[in-house]
Amino acid sequence: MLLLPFLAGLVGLFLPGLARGLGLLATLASGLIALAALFAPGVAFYAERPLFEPAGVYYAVGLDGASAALALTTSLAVFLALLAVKEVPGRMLALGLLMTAGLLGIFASLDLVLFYFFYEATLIPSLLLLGVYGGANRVRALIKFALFTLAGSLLMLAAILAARYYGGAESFLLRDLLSARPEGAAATLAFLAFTLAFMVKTPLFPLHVWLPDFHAENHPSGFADVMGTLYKVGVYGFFRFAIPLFPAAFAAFKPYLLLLAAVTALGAAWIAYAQKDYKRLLAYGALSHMGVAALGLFSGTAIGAVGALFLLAASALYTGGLFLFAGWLFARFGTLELAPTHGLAKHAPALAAFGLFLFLAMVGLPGLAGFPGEFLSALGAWQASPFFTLVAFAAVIAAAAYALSAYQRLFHGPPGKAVADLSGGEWVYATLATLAVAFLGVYPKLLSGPIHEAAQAFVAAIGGGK
Amino acid sequence: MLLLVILLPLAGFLVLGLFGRRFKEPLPGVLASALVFLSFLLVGALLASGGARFVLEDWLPGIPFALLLDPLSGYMALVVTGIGFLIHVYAIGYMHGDEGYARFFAYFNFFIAMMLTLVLADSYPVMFVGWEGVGLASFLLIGFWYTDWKNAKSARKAFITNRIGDLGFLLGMALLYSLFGTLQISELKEAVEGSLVLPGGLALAGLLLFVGAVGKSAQLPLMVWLPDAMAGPTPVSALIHAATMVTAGVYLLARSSFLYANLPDVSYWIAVVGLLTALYGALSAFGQWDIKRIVAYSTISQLGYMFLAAGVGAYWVALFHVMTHAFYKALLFLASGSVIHALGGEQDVRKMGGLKKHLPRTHLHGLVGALSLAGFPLFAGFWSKDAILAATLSYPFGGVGFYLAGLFVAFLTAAYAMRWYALVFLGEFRGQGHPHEAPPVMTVPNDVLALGAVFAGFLALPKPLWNLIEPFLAPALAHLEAHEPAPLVEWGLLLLSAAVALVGLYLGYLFFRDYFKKKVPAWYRAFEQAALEGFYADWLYNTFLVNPAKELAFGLGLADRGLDRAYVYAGGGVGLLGRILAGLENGYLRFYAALILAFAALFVLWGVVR
Amino acid sequence: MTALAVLFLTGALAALGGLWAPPRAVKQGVRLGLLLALFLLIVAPSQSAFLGLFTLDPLARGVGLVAVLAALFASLVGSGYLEKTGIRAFEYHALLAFSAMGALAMAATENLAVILVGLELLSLPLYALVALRYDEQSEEAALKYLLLGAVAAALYFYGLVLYFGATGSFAVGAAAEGPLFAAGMVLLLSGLFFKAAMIPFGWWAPDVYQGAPTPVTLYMAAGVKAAAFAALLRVVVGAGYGGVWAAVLALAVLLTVVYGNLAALAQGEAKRLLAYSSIAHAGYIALALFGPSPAPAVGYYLLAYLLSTGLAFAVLTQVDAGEGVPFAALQGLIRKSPMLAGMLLLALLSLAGLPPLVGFWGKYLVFVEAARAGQYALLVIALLTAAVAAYYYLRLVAFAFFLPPEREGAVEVRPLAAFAMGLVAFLILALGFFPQAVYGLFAGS
Repeated sequence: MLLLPFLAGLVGLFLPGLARGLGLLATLASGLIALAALFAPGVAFYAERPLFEPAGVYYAVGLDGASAALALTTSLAVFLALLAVKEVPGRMLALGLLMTAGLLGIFASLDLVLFYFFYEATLIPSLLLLGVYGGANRVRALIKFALFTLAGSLLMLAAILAARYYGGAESFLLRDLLSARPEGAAATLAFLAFTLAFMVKTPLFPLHVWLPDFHAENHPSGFADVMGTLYKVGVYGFFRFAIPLFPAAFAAFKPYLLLLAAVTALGAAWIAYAQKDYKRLLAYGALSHMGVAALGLFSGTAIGAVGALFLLAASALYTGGLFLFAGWLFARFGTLELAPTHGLAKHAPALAAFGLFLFLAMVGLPGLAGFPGEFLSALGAWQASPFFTLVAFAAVIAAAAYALSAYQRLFHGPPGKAVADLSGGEWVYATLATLAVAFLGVYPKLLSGPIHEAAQAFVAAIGGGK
Repeated sequence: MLLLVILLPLAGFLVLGLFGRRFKEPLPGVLASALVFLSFLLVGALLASGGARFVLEDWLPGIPFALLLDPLSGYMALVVTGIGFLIHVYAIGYMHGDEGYARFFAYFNFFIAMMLTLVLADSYPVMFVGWEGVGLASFLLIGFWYTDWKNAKSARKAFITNRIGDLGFLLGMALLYSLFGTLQISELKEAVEGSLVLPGGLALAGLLLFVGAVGKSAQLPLMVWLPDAMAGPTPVSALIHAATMVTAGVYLLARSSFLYANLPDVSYWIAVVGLLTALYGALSAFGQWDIKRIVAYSTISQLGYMFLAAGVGAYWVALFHVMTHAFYKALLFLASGSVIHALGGEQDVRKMGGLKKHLPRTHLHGLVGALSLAGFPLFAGFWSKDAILAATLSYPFGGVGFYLAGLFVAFLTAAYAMRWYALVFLGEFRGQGHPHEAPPVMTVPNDVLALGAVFAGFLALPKPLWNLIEPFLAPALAHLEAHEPAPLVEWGLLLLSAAVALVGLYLGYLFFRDYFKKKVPAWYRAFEQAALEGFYADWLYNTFLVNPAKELAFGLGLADRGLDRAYVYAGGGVGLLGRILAGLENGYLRFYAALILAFAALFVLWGVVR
Repeated sequence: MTALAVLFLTGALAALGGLWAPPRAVKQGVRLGLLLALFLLIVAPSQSAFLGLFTLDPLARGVGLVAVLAALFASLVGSGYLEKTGIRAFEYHALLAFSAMGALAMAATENLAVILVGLELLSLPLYALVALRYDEQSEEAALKYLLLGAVAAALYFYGLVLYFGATGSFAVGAAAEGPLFAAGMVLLLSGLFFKAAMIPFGWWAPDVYQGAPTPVTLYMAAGVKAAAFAALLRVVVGAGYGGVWAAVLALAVLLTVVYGNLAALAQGEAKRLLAYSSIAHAGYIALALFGPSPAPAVGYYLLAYLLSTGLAFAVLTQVDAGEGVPFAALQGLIRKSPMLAGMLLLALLSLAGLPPLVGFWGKYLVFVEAARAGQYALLVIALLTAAVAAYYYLRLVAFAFFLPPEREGAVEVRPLAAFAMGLVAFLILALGFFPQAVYGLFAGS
């Protein structure tokens, strides 16, 4: 599963013309594998081979419900993104495929060092996507992005080592580490290190500042933004590693984490309203979602964790879709400023409908993919802290404000400059994306069932209740 | 089967939304109407067969997708599909020639599907799906003529205001879930009724759900969106913003009556909010010049009545009023629509008048609607409103204060209903052109509605006459023991409220008959001006909430950039440190040698001394 | 043993042969000799000779490999640079072989005196190599290196004397206590810190790296450091961790990683930047010295470092026309030569320690050693400075990739050099995915 996008990416790097076709095949295949894993009970496709045996590192991968769900939506999102973009360099797609391989690796890893390996390896194509194909201020954005990520992840490496050597585990395999968890001050420090790393990648206030620039400077087609959206694996990291490994430390820091999540959720949504650049708006909007997801997860309840991961998985589709949508707008106007024109719904009703659909998904309208995650997060979060739930979910009001005003500024009002409606290729993407987002909203059971299984294991690991 | 009730209009939405533009008028309208009618029949048939249930287990972990057709939901579903069907038919004529004809019916069908989801839900999350769905439909339809910024803005305002209520709903669900571990309504009902000691958070949960209801039903203080919602086409106002969607809040309270019956304090506040809203709406209606806005404020006022009823614990009465109100308010709106249609889009009552002559059929509809609204004896509105007033005295959470205030609002209602009627239909025509009567496709539905507005009240009459509605709904509602007043007292009160309505109508007639020719007292002018602005509710919101929130958004954005700067400066600090350190490399050999020797000596000294 | 002999013969023959044979032949001869030595090192069994003065254990094998490989690589990629700058060819190769022999000698002994001999054997050819460009900068660098090297050698020598006085032995690991012994240890370490380019003794590195001919810098960065660390490891491990030298070591690590990484931020010339990076890397390697089994980690790191920094310097060698490599000269490299740019990217990211490149595993191993020793404070500081390091590596990448070139024009690379660099790049990537492949060479089996 990992190998396919990687190989496709590698080939694509040298033969840019083939990147798209190979990528479609590879992501389709990995998506199918993830789908199969979704229906399999327990950990599917488990494989364990020594990678660096003397150092206790294993190539241990497998997909349980949660990781299968994320792998599925990741594959799907990339698959769709490959369909959606046009007139982009093949090498760019190839880098995206390399990143996909890394992301799938992140989700599948069951060895901490292997996880770290993928976690950082994914950074390289991501940096190149930004650096080679980005906008005018990309170097600045790139360095900020890289430094935040690295500062966090390097500390995490120290914590990974500490987790093993303080706990006295045999190897870095997750199950070994879980059976010999470190305790005391060392565990607290290690947890904090993990927390910093994942806060950068969630991202959570106040370590989110790399995000708006990252999106604003990336290639206008939105393809790189999709990949960036997928790369927000912080919540998953908390879920899979940081919290189960250090439950006591997590319990001690829970109120602060909830606070940060709530601040992120509300603050980002609020700020989004004031943004004039389409991608910045989306960046803040997505940030707000991640705050909500983090809140759900930090509740320490199974239902909240399901919500968090569902939100993570689903937002890959619609947030990614919105970035691609931004790419289409850019192709039509040559700018990402909001309101270069208005009244677009007149000339491009299908484009308008699709945009509205995506925005509504982002707003968390029930029946679309954004809702189940948000809702379950709320259910879980309330059990942990009603007050922070109130704060965070005040964001749903702000979300309606920024999403609808962004939508209306473009599509409503007296008709302005005429633009083309959806083209053939765009129709294909719009149809598939709509189906996917609506399906997850109407029948969330597909993902929430398997995730719930994993979430129960998560709650058991931290010794929580229901 | 039950699912099909929802799927039929939903299919209509999909078909019309995707391919509607290729259909020739009036096919989309006919198709949409037919689907709603089918749903209506289906609901009727299922209800006759004793209800139905649909459950998809574990839709979300531990939360099934549950639908339930019981008397309560069946009653609402019949109102929604029945009135909805009539308005659909009316719209076939009203929307004739509009560019977005098919789009309109797609949205309309979508609305019906979502409204049915809301009504049939046996689980709060599922209800929430419908709840937000109708909100979306409302957004789409208010902004239907999107090329005008004003409409777009109104649509946004409606959606965002509703979202505030939705937040309450959402949090209420979260609280209920944390208390009972389930969100299925029938299970919650059992849990609440079965428990001897109620959990402490229940009152808060009730309050939060109530906040949701306040948003959806445009109660104080979230009523500001409804008048603006009149920006949509008139059938929209009739269907969504009068007959069905806005009553969803009342329905939510009735559905959750098992909660509120145990929460006297919360119920008290519901009644108070309802009463204040009724008063606010009635007063504001006096100042409006837009034919639809008058009716819109009257809707707010009437919804207040329903909340009053639900607040005092008379849930069936609230639902009774929902039904009669649906008839006469839809009728009023559609009659207004016919007037607007006849005048080529004119909505200002100052340019109407004397339409009695020009639009005889519509005049009849308007008159019936206005009288029913005013509570003219024996009309539908009379019976249901009187039931509410009586309930404030007989139900446990009621009180004489509620009764008297309600009676006063009833007087106001009669007066502004007459104002509307008089300004539109009496006197002389103040506008231009030649008004023409609407086609039959628009008048026939109004005839049906008018019949309802006259006779629907006879379904539930005071004792000792027959009452069909209360026993029908009883199994689905919480039962609160009402202490029945003696029939004599009850009929006395009935006469009183009839008298109040008649007096109100008469005074209104005197005052508004030749309104534009007479001298109006200055205090009334001032009052009129304030009422026109809805007593400055919008201004208050904008000044103290909306604008500060917007400014804060920019402020936070700047603060965020500031944070960004701070990081950059911190990075710059490290860089500066680096430059200082790099200064040690000054290229002088002797300096390096000295450093090396100094450190070596230092280390040796350290090693030896230790 | 045979490898040592081969290296000696290679050097000697090259030096003599240079008198009559054409430089080309000498060059090829040296390369063949180095290749042969490499092969012998890999296949030779662990052995001991000269009454134990020469001990080929896994550490010696690994470090020797790194040093010889460094020499070979420098020889392969340097030709073009030599021609551009007018350096006479055959001495370069011969001196490289001699120096590699010194490195091997230094690594493959447990006798402190022999270490000193190896040290000098390693250094003397280097002084000449640094001066080989015959211009002012080159000679200044050589002179600095020579004089400071003499100071360091004196420190080491003095330490050796005290050590002998305290223990009565030249062998590492001779037990003793007292101030005399402590002073001796500290001085020995100081001398070796100098060679390893660790602060507060490695002040020479930036000036010398910058002034020396670029391919020489390549060899210096990787080869010399390797030998120095082999000796450091033996001295520290032999003496145990009880004494003041452990504190000195910790302090040196701290100063080194902080100074190297922070001062690198202020640089504007690529070679000088890599010199600071080399200082920083010395700090990382030294972290492993605390661990319970440092030898494989040190060896592996050295290999990873050789491949990465070697490749980086190799790229600089191709770009450099004898005037150094200011950042501006790298601008737009991606357009001038995508291959070189790609290699530079790999090399720098590997230096930064990003997976899936070999540099990551090197860092990982030394960090594991530090963690096992419980040195978390040092570890965290090292990791934080590593994040700082990422900044300047990325900045270099940004210059090469994201900025337009100042001047158009292609960069030519000789086929053999290109092949060698390609091989190294491949190794960086392949070992990133299969780190275990060469681990056996350092762990001993």
